[in-house]
Amino acid sequence: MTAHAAPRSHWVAAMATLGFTAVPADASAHLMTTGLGPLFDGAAHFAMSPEAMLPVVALAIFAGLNGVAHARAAVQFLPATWLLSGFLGLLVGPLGISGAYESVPLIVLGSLAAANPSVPVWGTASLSILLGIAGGYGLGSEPSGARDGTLAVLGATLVAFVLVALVAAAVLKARWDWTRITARVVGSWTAACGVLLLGWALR
Amino acid sequence: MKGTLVRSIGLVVALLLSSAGIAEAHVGTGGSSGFLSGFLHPIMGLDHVVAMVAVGLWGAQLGKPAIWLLPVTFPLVMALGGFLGLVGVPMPGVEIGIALSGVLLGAAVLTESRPPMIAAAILVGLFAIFHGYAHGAELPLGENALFFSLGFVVGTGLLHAVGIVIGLLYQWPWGKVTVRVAGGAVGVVGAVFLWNAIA
Repeated sequence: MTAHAAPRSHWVAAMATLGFTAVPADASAHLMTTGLGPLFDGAAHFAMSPEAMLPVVALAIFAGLNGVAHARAAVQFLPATWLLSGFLGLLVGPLGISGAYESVPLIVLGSLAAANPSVPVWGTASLSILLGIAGGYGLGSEPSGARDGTLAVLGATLVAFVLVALVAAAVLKARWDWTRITARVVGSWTAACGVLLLGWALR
Repeated sequence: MKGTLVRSIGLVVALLLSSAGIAEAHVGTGGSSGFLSGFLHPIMGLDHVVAMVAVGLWGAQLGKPAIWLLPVTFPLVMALGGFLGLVGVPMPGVEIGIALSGVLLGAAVLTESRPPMIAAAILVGLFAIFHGYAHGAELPLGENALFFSLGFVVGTGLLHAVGIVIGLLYQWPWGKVTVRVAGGAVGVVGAVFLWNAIA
C-alpha cells in the first residue's frame, strides 16, 4: 500500500459509513404501516392496540347499560377529548411513565361495566373525558416521530368514535337478559385482563 | 500496511455500530402467539378444565342469579389470584386447592347441593383464587402481556360457557341425570388429582 492508499481507504470507509447512516428509516415503535397513508395508519394503530380498544368498549358497555343519556355523553365527550389529547401528545411526546398505568382504565371501566352501577350522567361524561385524555395522549404521543401524526391522530379518533357509538348502540338495544349479561361478561373479562396486566407490569 | 487495514476495518465497524437502527418495539409482532398461548394455558390442564366446566354446570343447576353471577364474577376473582401469582405472593397448597375444587364442585353438582348464594359464591371465589394463582405463577416471560391475558381470560370464560351449555340440559328429566353424571365425572377427576397432589 502506498502513502496515498491509507488516506484513501479511510475516505472510502468514511463515505460508506456515511451512506449507511444517511439512509432514512421511520421509527416505528407502536406504529402500523398500512400503505394507505397516515389516516389509515392511525386507524389501524388504534384497531391493533387492545390496550386502547378494550377500555373504549368497556366504557361503551357501561354507558349503554345505563341508558341513552349516558351513551350520548360517551359518544360526544370521548372522541372530542381523544382528539385534543392526541394532538397534545403529538406535540409533547411520550411521558415515559410506568406501563402499569395502562391497566387502570381496563380495571376501572371493566369493573363498572361488569357491576353495572347506576351513576349520574355527569359521572359517565367524566369517565369519558378521563379516558379520552389518557387514551388519546397515549396513542397521540406515539406517532410523534412519524411524518404526519396529525392525520394519524384523526384516524385513531374516528375509529374510537365509531367503536364507542356502535357498541353503546348495540348495548342500548339489547332487550333480553342474556344479551345484557353477555355485555357485562365482556366488562368482567376486560377488568380481569387489566388486573393481570397490572401483575405483569409489577412482576 | 496491515495496521492501516486493521484501522480502516475498525473505523468502518465502529461507525456502522453507531448507525441508527429502526425502533420496532410493539409493532404488533407476537400478538397472535401471545393470545394463543394464553388461550391454551387454561385449556391444556385437565384439572383446570374440569373445575371451570363444573362452575358452569353448578351455575346452570342453581339457576338465576347464579347462572349469570358466576361467569361475571369468576374471571375477576381468578384474575386477582393470577395477580398474586404474578407478583410472587407465596400461597401454600395451591395444587391441593385446585384438586379439591374439582372434588367439591363435582360433588355439589352430583348431589344437587343448593347452599345459600353467598356460600356458593365464597366457595367458588376461593377456588378461583387457587386456579388464578397457579396460572399467574406459571405465566411465561416474553409474551405480549395483554394479548396473553386476553387469551387466558377468554379461554377460561369459554370453559365456563361449555359448562353452562351442558348445564342447560338440566331443564329436562334426562338432562338432570346427564348433568349429575357430568358432575360425578368432574369429582372423580378431581379426586385423582387430589391423590397425586397429596401422595
